[in-house]
Amino acid sequence: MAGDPEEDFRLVGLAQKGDMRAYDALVIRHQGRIYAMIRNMVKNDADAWDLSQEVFVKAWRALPRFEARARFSTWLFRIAHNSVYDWVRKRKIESAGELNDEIFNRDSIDLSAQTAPSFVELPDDALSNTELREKIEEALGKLSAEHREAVVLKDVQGLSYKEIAEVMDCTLGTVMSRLYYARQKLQALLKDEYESR
Amino acid sequence: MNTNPDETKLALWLDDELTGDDLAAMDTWAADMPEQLAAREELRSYRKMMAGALPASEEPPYPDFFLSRVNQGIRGLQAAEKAVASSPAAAPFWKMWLMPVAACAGMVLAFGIGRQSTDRQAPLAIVPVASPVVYTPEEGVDAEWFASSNAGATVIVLQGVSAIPDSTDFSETVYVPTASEADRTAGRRNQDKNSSRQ
Repeated sequence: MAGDPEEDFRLVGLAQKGDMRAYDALVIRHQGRIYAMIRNMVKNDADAWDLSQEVFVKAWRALPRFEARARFSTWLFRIAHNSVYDWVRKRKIESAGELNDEIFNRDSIDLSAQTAPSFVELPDDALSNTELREKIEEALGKLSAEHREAVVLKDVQGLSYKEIAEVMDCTLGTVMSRLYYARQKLQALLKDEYESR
Repeated sequence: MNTNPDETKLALWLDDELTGDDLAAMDTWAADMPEQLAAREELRSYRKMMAGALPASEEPPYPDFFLSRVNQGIRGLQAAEKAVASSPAAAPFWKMWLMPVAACAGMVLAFGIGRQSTDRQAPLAIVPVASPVVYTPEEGVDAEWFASSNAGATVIVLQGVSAIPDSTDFSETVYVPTASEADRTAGRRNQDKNSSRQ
Protein backbone atom coordinates (compact mmCIF):
# COMPACT_ATOMS: atom_id res chain seq x y z
CA MET A 1 0.00 0.00 0.00
CA ALA A 2 1.03 3.58 -0.63
CA GLY A 3 0.55 4.35 3.05
CA ASP A 4 3.71 2.52 4.09
CA PRO A 5 6.53 5.08 4.10
CA GLU A 6 9.15 2.50 5.08
CA GLU A 7 8.40 0.41 2.02
CA ASP A 8 8.51 3.59 -0.06
CA PHE A 9 11.99 4.41 1.27
CA ARG A 10 13.19 0.88 0.52
CA LEU A 11 11.91 1.09 -3.05
CA VAL A 12 13.31 4.59 -3.47
CA GLY A 13 16.72 3.35 -2.36
CA LEU A 14 16.62 0.60 -4.99
CA ALA A 15 15.32 2.94 -7.68
CA GLN A 16 18.07 5.43 -6.91
CA LYS A 17 20.53 2.64 -7.75
CA GLY A 18 18.86 2.23 -11.13
CA ASP A 19 16.35 -0.52 -10.32
CA MET A 20 13.52 0.27 -12.72
CA ARG A 21 11.31 -2.48 -11.28
CA ALA A 22 11.47 -0.75 -7.92
CA TYR A 23 10.48 2.48 -9.59
CA ASP A 24 7.62 0.75 -11.37
CA ALA A 25 6.45 -0.47 -7.97
CA LEU A 26 6.55 3.09 -6.66
CA VAL A 27 4.52 4.29 -9.63
CA ILE A 28 1.93 1.57 -9.07
CA ARG A 29 1.76 2.37 -5.36
CA HIS A 30 1.23 6.11 -5.84
CA GLN A 31 -0.41 6.57 -9.23
CA GLY A 32 -3.90 6.42 -7.73
CA ARG A 33 -3.38 9.25 -5.25
CA ILE A 34 -1.47 11.42 -7.68
CA TYR A 35 -4.07 10.91 -10.38
CA ALA A 36 -6.92 11.65 -7.95
CA MET A 37 -5.23 14.79 -6.67
CA ILE A 38 -4.49 16.11 -10.17
CA ARG A 39 -7.93 15.20 -11.45
CA ASN A 40 -9.48 17.21 -8.63
CA MET A 41 -7.29 20.12 -9.62
CA VAL A 42 -7.65 20.16 -13.41
CA LYS A 43 -11.13 18.66 -13.76
CA ASN A 44 -10.26 16.84 -16.92
CA ASP A 45 -9.52 13.12 -17.11
CA ALA A 46 -7.25 13.27 -20.15
CA ASP A 47 -5.19 16.17 -18.82
CA ALA A 48 -5.00 14.50 -15.41
CA TRP A 49 -3.77 11.30 -17.09
CA ASP A 50 -1.04 13.15 -18.99
CA LEU A 51 -0.03 15.30 -16.03
CA SER A 52 0.16 12.27 -13.73
CA GLN A 53 2.58 10.60 -16.11
CA GLU A 54 4.59 13.79 -16.29
CA VAL A 55 4.82 13.78 -12.49
CA PHE A 56 6.32 10.29 -12.42
CA VAL A 57 8.77 11.05 -15.22
CA LYS A 58 9.86 14.23 -13.42
CA ALA A 59 10.06 12.32 -10.14
CA TRP A 60 12.32 9.73 -11.73
CA ARG A 61 14.59 12.47 -12.99
CA ALA A 62 14.71 14.14 -9.57
CA LEU A 63 15.02 10.88 -7.68
CA PRO A 64 18.80 11.18 -7.07
CA ARG A 65 18.07 14.40 -5.15
CA PHE A 66 15.31 12.89 -3.02
CA GLU A 67 16.25 12.75 0.63
CA ALA A 68 14.20 10.91 3.20
CA ARG A 69 13.35 14.09 5.08
CA ALA A 70 9.79 13.99 3.82
CA ARG A 71 7.51 11.14 2.89
CA PHE A 72 7.84 10.02 -0.69
CA SER A 73 4.15 10.71 -1.22
CA THR A 74 4.53 14.30 0.02
CA TRP A 75 7.48 14.76 -2.32
CA LEU A 76 5.37 13.43 -5.21
CA PHE A 77 2.54 15.81 -4.31
CA ARG A 78 5.06 18.64 -4.45
CA ILE A 79 6.03 17.64 -8.00
CA ALA A 80 2.36 17.28 -8.88
CA HIS A 81 1.73 20.77 -7.49
CA ASN A 82 4.43 22.23 -9.76
CA SER A 83 3.16 20.33 -12.80
CA VAL A 84 -0.41 21.47 -12.24
CA TYR A 85 0.60 25.10 -11.77
CA ASP A 86 2.76 25.02 -14.89
CA TRP A 87 -0.20 23.57 -16.75
CA VAL A 88 -2.54 26.23 -15.36
CA ARG A 89 -0.10 28.97 -16.36
CA LYS A 90 0.18 27.60 -19.89
CA ARG A 91 -3.57 27.32 -20.17
CA LYS A 92 -3.95 30.91 -19.00
CA ILE A 93 -1.48 32.10 -21.61
CA GLU A 94 -3.06 30.01 -24.36
CA SER A 95 -6.57 31.11 -23.50
CA ALA A 96 -5.44 34.71 -22.86
CA GLY A 97 -7.45 35.07 -19.71
CA GLU A 98 -10.30 32.88 -20.81
CA LEU A 99 -9.65 30.63 -17.82
CA ASN A 100 -10.76 32.86 -15.02
CA ASP A 101 -9.15 31.07 -12.12
CA GLU A 102 -9.54 33.69 -9.49
CA ILE A 103 -6.73 33.99 -7.02
CA PHE A 104 -7.66 35.20 -3.61
CA ASN A 105 -5.13 37.34 -1.87
CA ARG A 106 -6.32 36.85 1.64
CA ASP A 107 -3.37 35.08 3.16
CA SER A 108 -3.80 36.27 6.70
CA ILE A 109 -6.22 34.90 9.18
CA ASP A 110 -8.89 37.25 10.40
CA LEU A 111 -8.40 36.92 14.14
CA SER A 112 -11.91 38.03 14.82
CA ALA A 113 -13.31 35.28 12.66
CA GLN A 114 -14.37 31.93 13.92
CA THR A 115 -11.35 29.64 13.58
CA ALA A 116 -13.19 27.09 11.50
CA PRO A 117 -16.07 27.83 9.17
CA SER A 118 -19.34 26.43 10.26
CA PHE A 119 -20.72 23.63 8.14
CA VAL A 120 -24.27 22.58 7.98
CA GLU A 121 -24.11 18.83 7.87
CA LEU A 122 -25.41 17.60 4.57
CA PRO A 123 -27.81 14.70 4.72
CA ASP A 124 -25.85 11.94 3.01
CA ASP A 125 -29.00 10.00 2.40
CA ALA A 126 -30.56 12.86 0.39
CA LEU A 127 -27.81 12.92 -2.15
CA SER A 128 -26.18 9.86 -3.52
CA ASN A 129 -22.42 9.77 -3.36
CA THR A 130 -22.20 10.28 -7.10
CA GLU A 131 -24.43 13.31 -6.99
CA LEU A 132 -22.64 14.67 -3.97
CA ARG A 133 -19.35 14.15 -5.70
CA GLU A 134 -20.55 16.11 -8.70
CA LYS A 135 -21.72 18.94 -6.50
CA ILE A 136 -18.48 19.05 -4.57
CA GLU A 137 -16.42 18.89 -7.75
CA GLU A 138 -18.45 21.71 -9.22
CA ALA A 139 -17.97 23.77 -6.07
CA LEU A 140 -14.24 22.97 -6.01
CA GLY A 141 -14.04 24.18 -9.59
CA LYS A 142 -15.22 27.59 -8.44
CA LEU A 143 -12.37 27.97 -5.97
CA SER A 144 -9.04 29.49 -6.85
CA ALA A 145 -6.29 27.00 -7.61
CA GLU A 146 -4.62 27.65 -4.25
CA HIS A 147 -7.80 27.22 -2.26
CA ARG A 148 -8.84 24.17 -4.22
CA GLU A 149 -5.47 22.56 -3.70
CA ALA A 150 -5.51 23.26 0.04
CA VAL A 151 -8.90 21.56 0.33
CA VAL A 152 -7.91 18.63 -1.86
CA LEU A 153 -4.69 18.01 0.03
CA LYS A 154 -6.23 18.41 3.45
CA ASP A 155 -9.76 17.12 3.19
CA VAL A 156 -9.36 14.54 0.43
CA GLN A 157 -5.77 13.39 0.67
CA GLY A 158 -5.51 13.82 4.44
CA LEU A 159 -2.18 15.60 4.52
CA SER A 160 -1.18 17.53 7.63
CA TYR A 161 -0.84 21.30 7.62
CA LYS A 162 2.94 20.92 7.67
CA GLU A 163 2.91 18.59 4.70
CA ILE A 164 0.61 20.93 2.74
CA ALA A 165 3.01 23.79 3.48
CA GLU A 166 5.83 21.68 2.00
CA VAL A 167 3.81 20.75 -1.05
CA MET A 168 2.56 24.27 -1.73
CA ASP A 169 5.85 25.86 -0.72
CA CYS A 170 4.31 28.31 1.74
CA THR A 171 4.08 28.91 5.46
CA LEU A 172 1.86 27.08 7.91
CA GLY A 173 -0.11 30.30 8.44
CA THR A 174 -0.76 30.61 4.72
CA VAL A 175 -2.04 27.04 4.60
CA MET A 176 -4.38 27.72 7.50
CA SER A 177 -5.59 30.91 5.90
CA ARG A 178 -6.19 29.31 2.51
CA LEU A 179 -7.94 26.37 4.06
CA TYR A 180 -10.12 28.58 6.17
CA TYR A 181 -11.32 30.70 3.28
CA ALA A 182 -11.58 27.75 0.93
CA ARG A 183 -13.78 25.84 3.33
CA GLN A 184 -15.85 28.94 3.94
CA LYS A 185 -16.45 29.45 0.24
CA LEU A 186 -17.05 25.78 -0.33
CA GLN A 187 -19.63 25.81 2.41
CA ALA A 188 -21.43 28.73 0.82
CA LEU A 189 -21.37 27.13 -2.62
CA LEU A 190 -22.65 23.79 -1.39
CA LYS A 191 -25.24 25.41 0.80
CA ASP A 192 -26.67 27.41 -2.11
CA GLU A 193 -26.81 24.33 -4.23
CA TYR A 194 -28.43 22.36 -1.48
CA GLU A 195 -31.06 24.98 -0.72
CA SER A 196 -32.05 25.37 -4.37
CA ARG A 197 -33.14 21.75 -4.56
CA MET B 1 -3.46 34.90 32.91
CA ASN B 2 -4.38 34.33 29.29
CA THR B 3 -4.76 30.61 28.72
CA ASN B 4 -6.27 30.89 25.26
CA PRO B 5 -4.36 28.89 22.65
CA ASP B 6 -2.85 30.62 19.66
CA GLU B 7 -4.52 30.40 16.26
CA THR B 8 -2.14 27.73 15.00
CA LYS B 9 -2.72 25.42 17.92
CA LEU B 10 -6.45 25.96 17.75
CA ALA B 11 -6.53 25.19 14.01
CA LEU B 12 -4.47 22.03 14.55
CA TRP B 13 -6.79 20.94 17.35
CA LEU B 14 -9.90 21.55 15.25
CA ASP B 15 -8.42 19.46 12.46
CA ASP B 16 -7.40 16.67 14.83
CA GLU B 17 -3.71 17.11 14.19
CA LEU B 18 -2.56 17.46 17.78
CA THR B 19 -1.18 14.57 19.78
CA GLY B 20 0.24 13.94 23.24
CA ASP B 21 0.52 16.76 25.73
CA ASP B 22 -0.62 19.40 23.25
CA LEU B 23 -3.84 17.51 22.59
CA ALA B 24 -4.45 16.94 26.29
CA ALA B 25 -3.92 20.63 27.06
CA MET B 26 -6.29 21.69 24.30
CA ASP B 27 -8.93 19.18 25.32
CA THR B 28 -8.77 20.54 28.86
CA TRP B 29 -9.10 24.10 27.56
CA ALA B 30 -12.02 23.22 25.26
CA ALA B 31 -13.89 21.16 27.83
CA ASP B 32 -15.96 24.18 28.87
CA MET B 33 -16.01 25.74 25.38
CA PRO B 34 -19.05 24.17 23.75
CA GLU B 35 -18.82 26.32 20.63
CA GLN B 36 -15.28 25.07 19.97
CA LEU B 37 -16.29 21.47 20.55
CA ALA B 38 -19.21 21.96 18.15
CA ALA B 39 -16.91 23.53 15.57
CA ARG B 40 -14.62 20.54 15.79
CA GLU B 41 -17.53 18.16 15.32
CA GLU B 42 -18.75 20.09 12.31
CA LEU B 43 -15.32 19.95 10.79
CA ARG B 44 -15.13 16.23 11.38
CA SER B 45 -18.47 15.76 9.65
CA TYR B 46 -17.35 17.89 6.75
CA ARG B 47 -14.11 15.92 6.34
CA LYS B 48 -16.03 12.70 6.49
CA MET B 49 -18.40 13.94 3.80
CA MET B 50 -15.52 15.07 1.59
CA ALA B 51 -13.61 11.83 2.07
CA GLY B 52 -16.76 9.86 1.28
CA ALA B 53 -17.55 11.80 -1.87
CA LEU B 54 -14.08 12.29 -3.28
CA PRO B 55 -11.80 9.27 -3.18
CA ALA B 56 -8.22 9.92 -2.13
CA SER B 57 -7.02 7.35 -4.63
CA GLU B 58 -8.37 6.64 -8.09
CA GLU B 59 -6.78 4.25 -10.48
CA PRO B 60 -5.96 6.10 -13.68
CA PRO B 61 -7.68 4.79 -16.81
CA TYR B 62 -5.70 2.03 -18.58
CA PRO B 63 -3.24 1.57 -15.70
CA ASP B 64 -0.95 -0.79 -17.65
CA PHE B 65 -0.72 1.67 -20.48
CA PHE B 66 -0.16 4.40 -17.90
CA LEU B 67 2.89 2.58 -16.54
CA SER B 68 4.26 1.84 -20.00
CA ARG B 69 3.84 5.50 -20.93
CA VAL B 70 5.76 6.53 -17.81
CA ASN B 71 8.54 4.11 -18.77
CA GLN B 72 8.49 5.45 -22.31
CA GLY B 73 8.81 8.99 -20.96
CA ILE B 74 11.77 7.95 -18.81
CA ARG B 75 13.48 6.29 -21.77
CA GLY B 76 12.94 9.43 -23.82
CA LEU B 77 14.42 11.50 -21.02
CA GLN B 78 17.42 9.19 -20.78
CA ALA B 79 18.01 9.43 -24.53
CA ALA B 80 17.74 13.22 -24.41
CA GLU B 81 20.17 13.40 -21.49
CA LYS B 82 22.64 11.17 -23.34
CA ALA B 83 22.39 13.40 -26.38
CA VAL B 84 23.01 16.47 -24.23
CA ALA B 85 25.94 14.78 -22.49
CA SER B 86 27.60 14.06 -25.83
CA SER B 87 26.93 17.54 -27.21
CA PRO B 88 29.74 20.16 -27.33
CA ALA B 89 28.07 22.18 -24.61
CA ALA B 90 28.50 19.28 -22.22
CA ALA B 91 32.23 18.84 -22.96
CA PRO B 92 34.74 19.41 -20.19
CA PHE B 93 36.14 22.90 -19.69
CA TRP B 94 39.49 22.12 -21.33
CA LYS B 95 37.71 20.69 -24.35
CA MET B 96 35.78 23.91 -24.73
CA TRP B 97 39.12 25.71 -25.19
CA LEU B 98 40.65 22.98 -27.28
CA MET B 99 37.91 23.05 -29.87
CA PRO B 100 38.46 26.60 -31.16
CA VAL B 101 42.23 26.04 -31.14
CA ALA B 102 41.77 22.87 -33.16
CA ALA B 103 39.43 24.70 -35.50
CA CYS B 104 42.02 27.45 -36.04
CA ALA B 105 44.75 24.86 -36.61
CA GLY B 106 42.51 23.16 -39.14
CA MET B 107 41.92 26.45 -40.94
CA VAL B 108 45.66 27.20 -41.05
CA LEU B 109 46.35 23.70 -42.33
CA ALA B 110 43.69 24.01 -44.98
CA PHE B 111 45.05 27.42 -45.97
CA GLY B 112 48.58 25.99 -46.22
CA ILE B 113 47.44 23.06 -48.32
CA GLY B 114 45.47 25.45 -50.47
CA ARG B 115 48.48 27.63 -51.01
CA GLN B 116 50.68 24.66 -51.85
CA SER B 117 48.17 23.38 -54.32
CA THR B 118 47.91 26.90 -55.78
CA ASP B 119 51.65 27.05 -56.13
CA ARG B 120 51.83 23.77 -57.94
CA GLN B 121 48.94 24.31 -60.25
CA ALA B 122 48.06 27.25 -62.38
CA PRO B 123 44.79 28.97 -61.66
CA LEU B 124 41.95 27.78 -63.83
CA ALA B 125 42.04 30.94 -65.91
CA ILE B 126 45.74 30.53 -66.63
CA VAL B 127 46.32 27.68 -68.97
CA PRO B 128 49.94 26.84 -69.80
CA VAL B 129 50.13 27.19 -73.54
CA ALA B 130 53.45 25.44 -73.66
CA SER B 131 55.98 24.22 -71.14
CA PRO B 132 59.08 26.27 -71.73
CA VAL B 133 62.11 25.71 -69.53
CA VAL B 134 62.91 28.93 -67.73
CA TYR B 135 66.55 29.24 -66.94
CA THR B 136 67.53 30.94 -63.70
CA PRO B 137 71.25 31.46 -63.21
CA GLU B 138 71.02 31.91 -59.46
CA GLU B 139 70.81 28.84 -57.24
CA GLY B 140 67.71 28.49 -55.12
CA VAL B 141 65.58 30.52 -57.44
CA ASP B 142 62.58 28.78 -58.92
CA ALA B 143 60.74 30.14 -61.86
CA GLU B 144 57.27 29.24 -63.06
CA TRP B 145 55.76 30.37 -66.25
CA PHE B 146 52.07 30.97 -66.78
CA ALA B 147 50.18 32.10 -69.79
CA SER B 148 46.57 33.13 -69.91
CA SER B 149 45.00 33.17 -73.30
CA ASN B 150 41.91 34.92 -71.87
CA ALA B 151 43.94 37.77 -70.37
CA GLY B 152 46.46 37.71 -73.20
CA ALA B 153 49.25 37.75 -70.65
CA THR B 154 52.26 35.73 -69.69
CA VAL B 155 53.57 35.72 -66.16
CA ILE B 156 56.81 34.36 -64.83
CA VAL B 157 56.86 33.94 -61.09
CA LEU B 158 60.24 33.90 -59.44
CA GLN B 159 60.56 32.48 -55.95
CA GLY B 160 63.67 32.73 -53.82
CA VAL B 161 65.01 35.91 -55.32
CA SER B 162 66.90 37.93 -52.74
CA ALA B 163 65.79 41.47 -52.10
CA ILE B 164 67.10 44.01 -54.56
CA PRO B 165 69.43 46.53 -52.79
CA ASP B 166 68.42 50.16 -52.94
CA SER B 167 71.83 51.04 -54.42
CA THR B 168 71.08 49.12 -57.58
CA ASP B 169 71.15 51.41 -60.63
CA PHE B 170 68.31 50.18 -62.74
CA SER B 171 69.48 52.28 -65.69
CA GLU B 172 72.30 49.75 -66.15
CA THR B 173 69.78 47.00 -66.51
CA VAL B 174 67.41 48.83 -68.78
CA TYR B 175 67.60 47.98 -72.41
CA VAL B 176 67.89 51.19 -74.40
CA PRO B 177 67.62 50.56 -78.09
CA THR B 178 70.08 52.33 -80.46
CA ALA B 179 68.79 54.75 -83.04
CA SER B 180 69.10 52.22 -85.79
CA GLU B 181 67.32 49.58 -83.67
CA ALA B 182 64.62 52.04 -82.95
CA ASP B 183 64.25 52.71 -86.66
CA ARG B 184 61.71 50.39 -88.13
CA THR B 185 63.45 50.39 -91.46
CA ALA B 186 66.80 49.49 -89.95
CA GLY B 187 66.30 45.85 -90.62
CA ARG B 188 65.49 46.50 -94.25
CA ARG B 189 68.57 48.65 -94.70
CA ASN B 190 70.71 45.90 -93.22
CA GLN B 191 69.15 43.46 -95.59
CA ASP B 192 69.89 45.84 -98.43
CA LYS B 193 73.50 46.15 -97.30
CA ASN B 194 73.92 42.42 -97.20
CA SER B 195 72.40 41.97 -100.64
CA SER B 196 74.63 44.70 -102.14
CA ARG B 197 77.70 42.95 -100.70
CA GLN B 198 76.65 39.73 -102.35
